[in-house]
Amino acid sequence: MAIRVDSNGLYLDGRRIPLYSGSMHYWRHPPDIWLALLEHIKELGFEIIQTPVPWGVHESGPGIFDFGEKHPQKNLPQFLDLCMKNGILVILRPGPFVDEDMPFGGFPLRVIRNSAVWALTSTGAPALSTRYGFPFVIPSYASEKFLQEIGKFLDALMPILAPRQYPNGPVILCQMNRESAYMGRTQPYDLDYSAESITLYRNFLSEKYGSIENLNTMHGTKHSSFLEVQPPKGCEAVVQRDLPGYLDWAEYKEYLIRHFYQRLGQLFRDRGISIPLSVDGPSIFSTPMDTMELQKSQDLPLVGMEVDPNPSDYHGLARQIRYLTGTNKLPFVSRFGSGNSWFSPRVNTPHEAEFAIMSAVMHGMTAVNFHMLVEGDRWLGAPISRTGAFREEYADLFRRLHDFFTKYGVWESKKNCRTLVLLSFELERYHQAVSTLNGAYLGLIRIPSVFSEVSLSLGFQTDPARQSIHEEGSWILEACRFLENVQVEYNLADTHQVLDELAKYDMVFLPTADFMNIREQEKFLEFADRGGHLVFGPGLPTLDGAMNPALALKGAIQEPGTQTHGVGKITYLPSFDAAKDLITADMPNVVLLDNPNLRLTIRGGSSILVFLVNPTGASQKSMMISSWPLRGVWNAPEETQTGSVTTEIAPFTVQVWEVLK
Amino acid sequence: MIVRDVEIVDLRPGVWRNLISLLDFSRLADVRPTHPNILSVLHHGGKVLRVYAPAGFRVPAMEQVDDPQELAKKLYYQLPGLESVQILEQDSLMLFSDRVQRIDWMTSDMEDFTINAFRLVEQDPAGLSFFPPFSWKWNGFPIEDARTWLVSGPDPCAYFLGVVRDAAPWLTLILRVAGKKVRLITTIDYLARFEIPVEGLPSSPKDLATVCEAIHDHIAPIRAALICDYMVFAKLLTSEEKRRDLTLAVADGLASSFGILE
Repeated sequence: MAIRVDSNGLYLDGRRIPLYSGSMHYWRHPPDIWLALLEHIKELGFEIIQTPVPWGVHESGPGIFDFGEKHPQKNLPQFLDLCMKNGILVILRPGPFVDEDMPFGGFPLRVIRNSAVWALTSTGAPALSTRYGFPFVIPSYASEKFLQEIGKFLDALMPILAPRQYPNGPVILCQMNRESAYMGRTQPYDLDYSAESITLYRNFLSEKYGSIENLNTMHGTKHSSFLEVQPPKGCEAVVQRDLPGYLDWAEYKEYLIRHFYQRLGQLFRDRGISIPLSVDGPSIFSTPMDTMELQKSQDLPLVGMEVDPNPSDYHGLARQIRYLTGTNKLPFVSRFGSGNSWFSPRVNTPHEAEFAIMSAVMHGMTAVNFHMLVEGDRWLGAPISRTGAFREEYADLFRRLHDFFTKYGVWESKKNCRTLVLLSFELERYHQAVSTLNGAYLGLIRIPSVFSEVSLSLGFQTDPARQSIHEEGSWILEACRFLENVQVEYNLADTHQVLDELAKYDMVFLPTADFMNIREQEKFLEFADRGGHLVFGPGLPTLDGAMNPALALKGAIQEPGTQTHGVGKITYLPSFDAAKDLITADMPNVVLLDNPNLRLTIRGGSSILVFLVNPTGASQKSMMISSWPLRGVWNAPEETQTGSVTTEIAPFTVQVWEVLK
Repeated sequence: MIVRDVEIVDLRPGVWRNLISLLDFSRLADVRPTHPNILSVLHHGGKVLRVYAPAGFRVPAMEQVDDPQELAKKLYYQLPGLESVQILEQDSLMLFSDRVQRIDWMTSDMEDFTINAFRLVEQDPAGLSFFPPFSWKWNGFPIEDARTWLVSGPDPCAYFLGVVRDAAPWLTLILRVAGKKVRLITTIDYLARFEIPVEGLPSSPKDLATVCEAIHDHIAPIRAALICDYMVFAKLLTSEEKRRDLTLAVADGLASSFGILE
């Protein structure tokens, strides 16, 4: 393959290029200004653009497609050829779902009005989405009819796309779909109860358990075949041994997403697409979106993340990027908001946009697509207006960013990070499985969130439902806050992380309750055995996922505290009250500042850059201690300073200092 | 599909009639909304499962719901300061969710769909009891009154609406009315953020003229505008003498307007 994606970036014929792109929508502009828009994009420093190909725009009648034969703005081949001629590479998003404020999310109404493609709720109603400005039924990931219809669209598209793949054409990446987790309806008992989904659920169980006898043992049922198995429609667990049936349904929701992308990817491959495929992942952590499993099992080198930057939520943005960095080979924000929808209550100012972008870079973003570079109708605040004029205050920001990223080799550098915090898939599945009252439309009545919880008394020492990252006071959130407060930069990932990747970190924080898959327990012990420091809590697992005894961790440590294990260490930490001595001054990623309101990270590459952020609304002063001279290269004084550097940093601002070794 | 000369104001009416921002989008999108002073009781077949009381309200212990409507009324008067009491039967919630999703979506735009969904609540499906009776509010105003008022001016028409409360902007919208339908175009925030040097709400007829001129030049041909106090707007919605009341408010310095109710 002429194109390769790995942790160092995007390689075209062995030449590394930054995956640094921005969106424009060809069909929203007349062809006579396409060239001017592309030239403006290049002037801002971009050599790659991203554009969706909305199915509903090009399908002008049942099975009839217009790629410019009738309507010049739909002339995709002309647009791609223009890109090629002008040295612009293209990330193409053929959907099937594109959103982009299109009616029905870009689906043709003909397709989604067919009940054979619908995802169904547990009451058999079509699962209706009102998330995208126009009501339509969410298509089922299990629907063969849906896949057939997608295939027809791709059949029409491929004569245009296939010959325009790199190196013969400009298309370097094919991004599938958008919003890869049930269009936000992730409550497990909400959907999908269509007949095809239930069949797939039975297949999933069959693959997992091998025989109906094994399933009966695990679920406490007496089925004579998998055909008799029905999915749960709510959590009615009474004892611990009831849980596997509900946890399996939560796990199936992950399986269903993988199934869809496996089938979708195959549709592309069968039609001659040889360039890398990617997925535009939603901005959620953990189940039902299993980012790492998706990458491993589906030949997807990139599972991007969407970031809708809100400068007042710096900590949320930082955690998103930390998760992206901890779970992806190449941390790619596939949709970094640049501007906003016309009906959104706010658009970031250039200063706010700069703050968000630089905050993302400092926490590990290494590849990005800005959405949008060119405004269309229904989008405001991009650096280029829909008529082709620069919005100078935004354009100037992008010019400065490009110069900075290029001069200091930011996209070739990596964040220094030796600490990892893990989400537990088992605990997140549990949190999902013990929820009830699927959320669809109950917000209209303003239902209290506690009504969505199932009260269970299953006799656990540690309540697993309280240990989700979504629960205030959970151990994992306390771990994040602890590290932030002691100014130790960390990445986030989940328990599906493989041992070799874990071993790249010095310290791993792992949330635990009473149960944990035995193989996972062994994996984390092996991490410590190899020299890592495993910190877990608040519970001491004694059971596996089937609620049978599993004592690997307990065999290694019985009481709270720290002890050696192999050449590493294990700390059993029920509470962060006892974490005072966990971080020692000799740890390589510890940088002490005298202002606790500031955060600091370091990216290393051809340059070593120190990023310092003030996420507060007030100006802050701080002293940095460095063994090498420092020179400000972004929002900081340019003169070289040595030893202790005192700096003042404006509200909501990122400073960058170059380390002069 | 989307032609070049389509401006924000000209979003295709057939596919983009949109009242969603008027409806407070978060109430639709957020499955775990914040809770004003609403006391909620969840029961299943009469057996109380959960009680949620806003901070500061001490709710008497209860295990059984026999007459939901009567209980809602009793709690409402027993606990002064509550916005409302809602007694919700668990299966009925699922039924409600089910019924919302069976609304005809193919021929509904978002406005129609959302209104129909709220009407389902107002019709009080069995098992969902509210006291006072469920009333759908838009920014504190009765929605039906607001819609009636918003479409009562020239049609088609784009106009600017600003409502002030305690000297602060309460509501700032540029609206378009066509065929007795209301569509939000944008908010004044965009004006403040982009080319037009307008910060906050104008306070005088001269300022109003400046804003309208700016909107006219950059977003939409404005035919009407109103800036007024919150209480004036609330009264206008239900007044039977809208023109007279508006005239009086202008005379009292509580409103600036042109092109409204002509």
